[in-house]
Amino acid sequence: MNQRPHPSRADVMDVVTRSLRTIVAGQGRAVWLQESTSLTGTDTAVLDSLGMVMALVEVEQALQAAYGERIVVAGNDALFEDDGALATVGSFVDRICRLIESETA
Amino acid sequence: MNIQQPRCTIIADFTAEPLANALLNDGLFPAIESVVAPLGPVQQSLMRLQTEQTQPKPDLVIVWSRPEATIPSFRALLRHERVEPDQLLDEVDQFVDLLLDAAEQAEYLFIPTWTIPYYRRGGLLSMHPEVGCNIALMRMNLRVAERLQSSPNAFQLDASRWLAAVGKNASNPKLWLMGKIAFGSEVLGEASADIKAGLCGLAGLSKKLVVLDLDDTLWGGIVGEVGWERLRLGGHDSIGEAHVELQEALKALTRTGVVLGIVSKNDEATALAAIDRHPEMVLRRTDFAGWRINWNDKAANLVDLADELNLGLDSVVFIDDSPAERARVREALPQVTVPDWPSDKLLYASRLTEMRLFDRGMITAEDLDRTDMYVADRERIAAKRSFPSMDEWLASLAIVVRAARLDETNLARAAQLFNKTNQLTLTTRRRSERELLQWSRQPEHDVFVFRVCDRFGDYGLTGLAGLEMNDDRARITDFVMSCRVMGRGVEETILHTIVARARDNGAGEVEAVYAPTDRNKPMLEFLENHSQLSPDGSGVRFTWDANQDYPSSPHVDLQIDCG
Repeated sequence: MNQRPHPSRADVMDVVTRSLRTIVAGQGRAVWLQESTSLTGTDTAVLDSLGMVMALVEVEQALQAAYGERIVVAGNDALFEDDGALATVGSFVDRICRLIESETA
Repeated sequence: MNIQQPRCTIIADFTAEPLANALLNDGLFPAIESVVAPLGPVQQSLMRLQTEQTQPKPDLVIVWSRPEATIPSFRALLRHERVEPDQLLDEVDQFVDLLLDAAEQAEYLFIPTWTIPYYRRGGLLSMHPEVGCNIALMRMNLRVAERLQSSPNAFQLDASRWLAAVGKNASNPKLWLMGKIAFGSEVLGEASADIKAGLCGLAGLSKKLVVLDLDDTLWGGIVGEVGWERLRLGGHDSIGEAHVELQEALKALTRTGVVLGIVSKNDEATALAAIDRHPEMVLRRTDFAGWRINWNDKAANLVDLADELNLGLDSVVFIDDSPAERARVREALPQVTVPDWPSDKLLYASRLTEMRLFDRGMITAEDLDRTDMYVADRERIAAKRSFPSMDEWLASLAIVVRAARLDETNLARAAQLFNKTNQLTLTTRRRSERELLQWSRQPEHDVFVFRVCDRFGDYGLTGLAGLEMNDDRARITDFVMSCRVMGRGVEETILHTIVARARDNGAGEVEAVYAPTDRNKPMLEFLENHSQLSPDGSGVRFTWDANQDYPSSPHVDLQIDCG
């Protein structure tokens, strides 16, 4: 059976921005998403806590559909990790890439 | 209800903000602004709704609960405890009592059916009569459905269909555990679309006429080239079966009050021969309210056909396999709904049934007979040609108008006529069944309904008039008529009846104040040019001296079934 390829950082960025756009549009807003866009914890953040939950699950489902079931984004204490990983779009993407690396190491 | 801006309250025992977002932002009509009740047991919010009696009432209340949180015995079943079936249904009944109370506090109440929680899979015992959770849930949903029958404004929506449509991502334990979100966003999208389709249907916006192309739409092949004998229709042929499946789906629609028409570029005699003679045709000539089969522009034909059937273009759906014809109609007639149609014929029937264009809250006797009424109309028009004058033709019809008071027996159809009529209506008021009946029962109000028949058949309940007494003046609050009986003396008969009623109530004058919309010009045309009411110069107010009989039509036999 063919092993599905691992996503590159650009692939992850694409999945994350598409998922975020869907969630933000669902809240009746449109935002320009870039690496530095604040996700949570600031006045300009694009997501509230509910939106963050939906984003974690949406991104995980999209990555699993495209790249396989082993990629876990919304596991365990994902929401409560106080390492700034969910602060911006870029840090969120980096965190997912680290998770994928550790999974495949 | 103002369908442009409906006000909604969502009561749920899970985080319902994503549903509120979908209702507001999914891009479908109408955008629904919602108030989400505090998260918690739905019974509490239902009781609060009853206590607070918010005015004005919300247009829609959605009560979406999880069965394990609402019915303690079901929760026990999930834990594999033994539960008495009567106890389970008693708890359901208590819950439905609250729902019925809530229905009094809203124009409409929508209740998605209960679904099995994500963490409970099927298994051999799931349908066991004593311990099965799935069979218990079916009984519970059925009990709710049966008991809600007593409420004309409460509707159960099939949530299991939404979950099935979405599949694997219908729910996710992570959404639940981290955010108390019971269903994935795609489920909420399906729910939102169904809720809006239902609301539009209740507001009289469901589509009334499906206009069909023939070649490679209703049947496979081009009848003018291959002859009706060689069309692909039925038989041991997947494409032939797909066309039969589409015809069966269309036939089913006609039993809900939707009428069918044909607009096709063909030789009429050749096409009608196929309809009459092909043994696998499900739809026959009598299933079509009308047709335009010729070589003219389809958009022009469509306008002509809708006009003949007295239906507005915004109630028309046009189905054609040709992208070019669809594009032409879309461009020429933006009011007409022209769905994208699959190039794969095997998907025709499923495409038709997945469109949320034909929802309705009830099916009346008139709905069942609607196509027959149009067929009878065709016969009337054909007979008209043999009479030298309009008067002689009208006299030959032997029209009978039966007037009756609004009551429970005629309420469903009366409300349908009241809420769906856009052209021949004085004020275009919209009221739910309950509101209409309540209004009619106030001492200063009268509402009459009018059934019309002639020697060709029964038109059904096709007229309604409301009257409000104010000292010695009577005001016609509502004058609503189906266009199908226009110009046959029924209008005059209705005015005759309500003027007589106003006089009996002590009125010296009857007034009708026309409320213009972009659709009800035909009513103004009647008031100004065909009625004998006196205009007061304002352009919208017309009066009649109630001491005089309003002249009834000599061609109509009026029978009054009420005091």
